[in-house]
Amino acid sequence: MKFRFMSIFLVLLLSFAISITAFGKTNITFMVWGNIFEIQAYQKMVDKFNQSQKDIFVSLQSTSWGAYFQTLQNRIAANNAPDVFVMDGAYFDNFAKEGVFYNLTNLMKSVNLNEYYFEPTVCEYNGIVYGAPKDITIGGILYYNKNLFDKAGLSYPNWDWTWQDWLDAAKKLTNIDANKWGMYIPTYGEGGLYQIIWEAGGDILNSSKTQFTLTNPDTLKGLQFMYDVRYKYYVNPSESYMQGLSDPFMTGNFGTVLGISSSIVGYKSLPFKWGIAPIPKGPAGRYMSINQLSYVVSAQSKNIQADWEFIKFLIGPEGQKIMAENGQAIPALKSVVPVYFDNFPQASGLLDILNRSNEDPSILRDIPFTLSWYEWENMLESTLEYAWTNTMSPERAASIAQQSCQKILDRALK
Amino acid sequence: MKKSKLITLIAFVIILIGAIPMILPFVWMVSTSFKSLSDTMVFPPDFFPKTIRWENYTELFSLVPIKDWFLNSIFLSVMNSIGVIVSSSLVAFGFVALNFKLKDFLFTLLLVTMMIPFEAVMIPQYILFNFFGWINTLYPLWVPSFFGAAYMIFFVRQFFKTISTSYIDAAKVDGANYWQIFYKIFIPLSYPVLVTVGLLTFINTWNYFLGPLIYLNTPSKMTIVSGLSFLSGQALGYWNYIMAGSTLAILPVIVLFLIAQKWIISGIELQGGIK
Repeated sequence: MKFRFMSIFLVLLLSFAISITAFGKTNITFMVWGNIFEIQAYQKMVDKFNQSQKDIFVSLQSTSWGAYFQTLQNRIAANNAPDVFVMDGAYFDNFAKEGVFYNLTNLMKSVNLNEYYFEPTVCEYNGIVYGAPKDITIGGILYYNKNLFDKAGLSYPNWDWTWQDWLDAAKKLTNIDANKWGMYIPTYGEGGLYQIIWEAGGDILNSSKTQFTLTNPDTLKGLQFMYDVRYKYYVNPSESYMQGLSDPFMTGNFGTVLGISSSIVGYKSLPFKWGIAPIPKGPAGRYMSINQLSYVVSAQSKNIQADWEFIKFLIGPEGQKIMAENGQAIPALKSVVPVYFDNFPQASGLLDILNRSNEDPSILRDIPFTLSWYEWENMLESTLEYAWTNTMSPERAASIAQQSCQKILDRALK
Repeated sequence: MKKSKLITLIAFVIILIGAIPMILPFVWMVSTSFKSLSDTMVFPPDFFPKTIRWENYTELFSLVPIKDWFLNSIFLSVMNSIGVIVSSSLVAFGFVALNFKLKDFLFTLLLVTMMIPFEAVMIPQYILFNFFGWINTLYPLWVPSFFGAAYMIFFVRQFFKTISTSYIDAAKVDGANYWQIFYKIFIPLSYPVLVTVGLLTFINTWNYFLGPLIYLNTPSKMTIVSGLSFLSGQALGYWNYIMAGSTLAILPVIVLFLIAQKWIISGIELQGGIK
């Protein structure tokens, strides 16, 4: 028995020694999700980094979006987590609470966060920094179809637009017989639901993020607006009509569609002209959302110093520039943001929104990520669906959503 | 005579109606594979592409390592078929020809494993294969088949049971050992069922989606069916390319099925060994 233990130990020691002397490089693994184009861009970043390094070698591992979190959980359970990986706000808090991430607080002190869009909701948990900012996504921006606006003789949406202007234009753009619609407000949080609620003066959660505020009168005003455009003014198709439409704006049948900035990639070769405007101003002001992905280091990693060198590259000007040039995502490093828009001249309206937000940061609000966010967001969408299909009034749907979501959050916070 | 023609006609119409919902998705897939990306998003959808876009197919080859995916799929399907045929027929033979303690209990236990969904054993399996150092290799996707597949063991055993035990007795009298009984009597009598098992395994492996996604994390190591998931992202799916890839992916299976159709049918007809 003793001999067996010793021999295993020796083999391990030997293999360790070989891996150090023979290759002389610290190998770290970097896991991402993405489609083939996104993975190619990541590969470029990794190659560039590897060329610049004598002692570190990064190998890229990738999965598709649908398999990413399952694979990650398996690997963490098998004590084989990737050293550096990309993280999404939906799961960030839960992973942080489980102790999956390495504490980056001290290392991040060397980074000047003023140069970055930095979202604590996706990089911090309980005041500890676990993530480095990768990119940003702006939610609740107004995509508009210039062809349809020109045909109706309307002027394009601008910063003066209010909900009323929006509604007036939508009425003129809508022609149900010709299957043309004035607007579409998505019913998922980041796409339009949160922003409309904020603009009505309401909110999803209270400020300590422990209680839902879905039945509060201002929140209901926002939900009522989303209901009215569907069933009072008939400028927004009913949710049953929307079934099976993966991206309404791409159909060319919609004058204005609220959405998130990551959709731009697919709009590059649309057969009609389009632009981006800020969300029209609501009774309580103008609010869009800012969301982000982050780079994190696994708590299981053995080479923190190498991981950090790599992260510094990823969030530095070089790494951010490669990401932006490939049109993959809007970089978190503010000075590199214009590079992204060189690819997408039609999206200049979004650059305008970002520039204005630098003067007035209050127009961009955080996504209300909490523990088990993905669970209650799902519940929120499916319960409010009762209102969007006109099976219930917005008030009733909201009170059901309030109860069901609160149950999930209470369980998560316990 | 007239009456039977009428019945045939009615049967034909019923079958035709039943065939429409089955053939529609297939037609939709082929039609979408010739559309441009923006045409795939048109609503209400066009059933046929406005202009035929052959480039989807040629571009697919430069976009993704589809040749590697095909080779991986073929390798895995062939290895799994061989593995399942060899292991399942051996185990099934054991359950039929040998008598040992707890035989029925073990067989029940085997059947029970069929009822555990993959999702339930996924993490323990992953930990095991990680311990072997098999992550991001094809091993976890074919080696297990050499250790038997519960459903196929059951399938082969049911067939073996129809072979009369007098064969075994006669062979024993002639001095044959169990190994000889297995490959000189049982295997030749069971070609149709073994081909069916191999074919079903081939098709199952070809279409296996989740496993490759879990165990492989380099695009070039993927199989054709799982690899296509790299064409759809969080925000956007390149449906025209996905459908072009899917059309290519099912071709080998269709060809194989057409070739082997005869065998599958005779596999059902030829039950038994003694007249």
